[in-house]
Amino acid sequence: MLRYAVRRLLIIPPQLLGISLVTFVIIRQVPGNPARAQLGQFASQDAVQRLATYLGLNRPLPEQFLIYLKNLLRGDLGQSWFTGHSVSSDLLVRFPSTLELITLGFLGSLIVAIPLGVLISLRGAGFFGRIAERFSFVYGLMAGAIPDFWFALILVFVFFHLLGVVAAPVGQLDLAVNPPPRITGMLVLDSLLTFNWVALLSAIGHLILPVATLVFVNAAPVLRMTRSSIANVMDSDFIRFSRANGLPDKLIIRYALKNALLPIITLSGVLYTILLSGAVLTETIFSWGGVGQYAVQSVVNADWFALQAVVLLTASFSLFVFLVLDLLYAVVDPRIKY
Amino acid sequence: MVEGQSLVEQLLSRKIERREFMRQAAILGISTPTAMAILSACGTSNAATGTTTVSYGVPALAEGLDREFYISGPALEAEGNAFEPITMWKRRPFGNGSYVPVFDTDNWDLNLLSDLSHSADGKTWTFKFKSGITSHAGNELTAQDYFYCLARHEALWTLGSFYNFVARIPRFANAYRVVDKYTITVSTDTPSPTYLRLLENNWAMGLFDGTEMKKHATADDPWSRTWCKTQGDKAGHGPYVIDVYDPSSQIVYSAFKNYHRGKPKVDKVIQKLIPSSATRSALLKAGSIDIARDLLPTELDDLSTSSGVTIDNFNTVRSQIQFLMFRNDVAPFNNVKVRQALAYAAPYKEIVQDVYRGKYASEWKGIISRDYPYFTDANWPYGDGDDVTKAKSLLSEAGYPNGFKSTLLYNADTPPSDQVAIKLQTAFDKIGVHFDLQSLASAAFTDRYTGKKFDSLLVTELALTPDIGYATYLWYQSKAFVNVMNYNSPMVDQLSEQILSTLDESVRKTAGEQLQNTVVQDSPALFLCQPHFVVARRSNIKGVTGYTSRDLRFDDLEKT
Repeated sequence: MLRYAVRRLLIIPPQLLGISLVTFVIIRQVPGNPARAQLGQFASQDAVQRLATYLGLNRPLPEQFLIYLKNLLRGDLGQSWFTGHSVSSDLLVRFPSTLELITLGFLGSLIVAIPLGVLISLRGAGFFGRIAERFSFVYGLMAGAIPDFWFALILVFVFFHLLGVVAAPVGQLDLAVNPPPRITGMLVLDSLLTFNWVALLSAIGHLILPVATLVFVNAAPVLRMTRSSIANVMDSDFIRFSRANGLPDKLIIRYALKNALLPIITLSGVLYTILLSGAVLTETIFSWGGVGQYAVQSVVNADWFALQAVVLLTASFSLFVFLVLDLLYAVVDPRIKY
Repeated sequence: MVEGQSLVEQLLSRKIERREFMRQAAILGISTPTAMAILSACGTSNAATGTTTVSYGVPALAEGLDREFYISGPALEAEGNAFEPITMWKRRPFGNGSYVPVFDTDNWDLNLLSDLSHSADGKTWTFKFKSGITSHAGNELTAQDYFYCLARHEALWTLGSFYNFVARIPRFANAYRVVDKYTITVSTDTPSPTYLRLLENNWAMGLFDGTEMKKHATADDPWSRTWCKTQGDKAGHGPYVIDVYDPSSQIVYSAFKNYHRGKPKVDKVIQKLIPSSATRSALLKAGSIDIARDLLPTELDDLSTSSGVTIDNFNTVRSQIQFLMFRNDVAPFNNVKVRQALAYAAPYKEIVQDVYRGKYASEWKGIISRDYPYFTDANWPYGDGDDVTKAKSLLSEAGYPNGFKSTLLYNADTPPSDQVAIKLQTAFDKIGVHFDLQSLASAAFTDRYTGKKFDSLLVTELALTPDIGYATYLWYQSKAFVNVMNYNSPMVDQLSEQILSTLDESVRKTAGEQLQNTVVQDSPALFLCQPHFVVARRSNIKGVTGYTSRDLRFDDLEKT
């Protein structure tokens, strides 16, 4: 398995090279010129040309790409004309915020969806099983139909505006709370590590609604997959044989769950990668200041280096998650050998 | 647990084993978030006591602090608080504790100057700066600072080039000369009344602390562009210094205690990026923020009935203007009758009533802001628009009896442009002219706008300086590079030159009115409406002023 993992890791750089080349070319075909975007309409064409030269935008495309690649190999992702900082430092600030949010959303989705899916799919679950089935049917329909940004606004309206029981959606902390010293960039973790209880309180409070939004939207597909996957396994011969031999229900459920895990793991992994870009609307509603918002801002402002870096980051994240997924298969299913 | 020591400390000092540490940490980990989540609704703060803080929700933040390169609305606001204009308009009360500027150069605030005069021929201006004014870096303001700014304009020749051009300051002609420590003279090609009024415009003629700027110059960057982009406020003389500058999240301003007009009443301003207008509205209503701007008309209406909220709807200083621009050199818009037909058919009233709720915009019926000196609507021929009969008749005369098809571009990131575009499309369909609507993201829109790659384009603009010469030069003089319509009228050019180069206000008034009448008849664009500058605030915030730049100067504010 180690050799397989190493082989997969070695494939990642050429994959990223291909992705960066395609991204580089496509971005420059989209209308929008960073020099003009920066200067606006009150600058003459001469001024725009001068700035474009200063930014290196007038060089031939292959030359620009080679310069970009050379810098990329040195870890330099370029400069954001919008923030004025290096793109790597921008992402170092923003990525942990998004990672914290989507990881909690992802874990929350699993915690809600998997037990519920198990409960619903077991035969003879009785009264509670039937209630759960009805609930999951309605919930599945709603979660598939309701846009996440709309649901987020409803949560803000009900819990913040009407009931006043949650923190204001002004970002990751209250406006008047100073952030803790930066260690990981994830405010909950940094607050814990530095024993800053005020910041911890504020950070957790501000996570409630955005995490609830992500859980609501993303738990539904996991629930459906868990339910159908377990239902299929429960119909299989070895489960019937186990029941016939009088094995206890708890043991049977354990066997069933282990065999049903593969599709659940696959879907969960894919969901996690989608969350990185899919959280953009949630980040916007809650002013999160993460990678999603950064990506949108880059598109709107023709901030090419920032946009390229976000695509590379998303691609790297996805490739890494898929590698972990493949390794997990081998852990869960001993029949799979690399 | 050993008293007086945290779990981590106990582990590090080997007073507990790893297993015990993990057990206790797990218990803490499960129970603490639950308890804290409940408690977090109370909301605690570690803000310093005794400081007045105003929190301000905005849809975008300044992308840079260098006036030579950044002129978006948010950039104007940041620069307007970090830097100081040479002169200032006086203010008068508007109502509810708010103010508006008074456009009177005979009775304005000389601010940084102890004296301002010009030569008899009107072509040499003498500035005498006050002594004892310091920058955020602690250096005293002198005439050398203004010399540095003018030299920087000349050298970089980017946004400054536009202002120097319209102010008639010739480039590379030794037009400015330091006479003594506080005195500098600036020469113009012609007498320049617009230059006088541009002194109030912080982005045209605002000052840098040249001494501080030069410290950050390098061989590759002799004008400190890199430093100025993110830290240029340190070279400002304005009422606020920027403590935290993160254009993707927030900007935090602290009052400059040595500000020459006295330390501002508000100690700290937190300008927070809140992209969603619905969220900004909810936060203001709940009192989580003190000020919100750029809200939709429906949100403003909702807030106007909320207790503790005041809406400042500045309907007497209307600098913003909304046009439907045409490419005047491309068929069918190169035909004046086509443009006039559309002007007759445009739904001016409907746009103001339906899109802006009848309150947050005014009908325009002119070509410069209604509140600027020498505005006239005396010869507006298009009435209230919606004149289908007249429009169809003109289209027939122009050779388009069955109408035609075209494209209308608008900026997807500036609501409610989409609603205005739909109103226009519906109105023009009635006369057989069909516009395909195309919405573009900001950067792409700016590209098409400035690159003149459009047939028709819906845009909201503003002329920062309330001057007939400045406002009529921008889009109507054929040489102006902001004239993306390629409108070309020798008569308008001649009148514009006249207005820009005489100090005689009666001549400027007459020429200005004639110019406006000519452009209205030519209708190079449709002059749709004037959206108001509207600010929603908590009622205990006073002092908001409706400047033409549509930004807030935080030293005007007080929190009661």
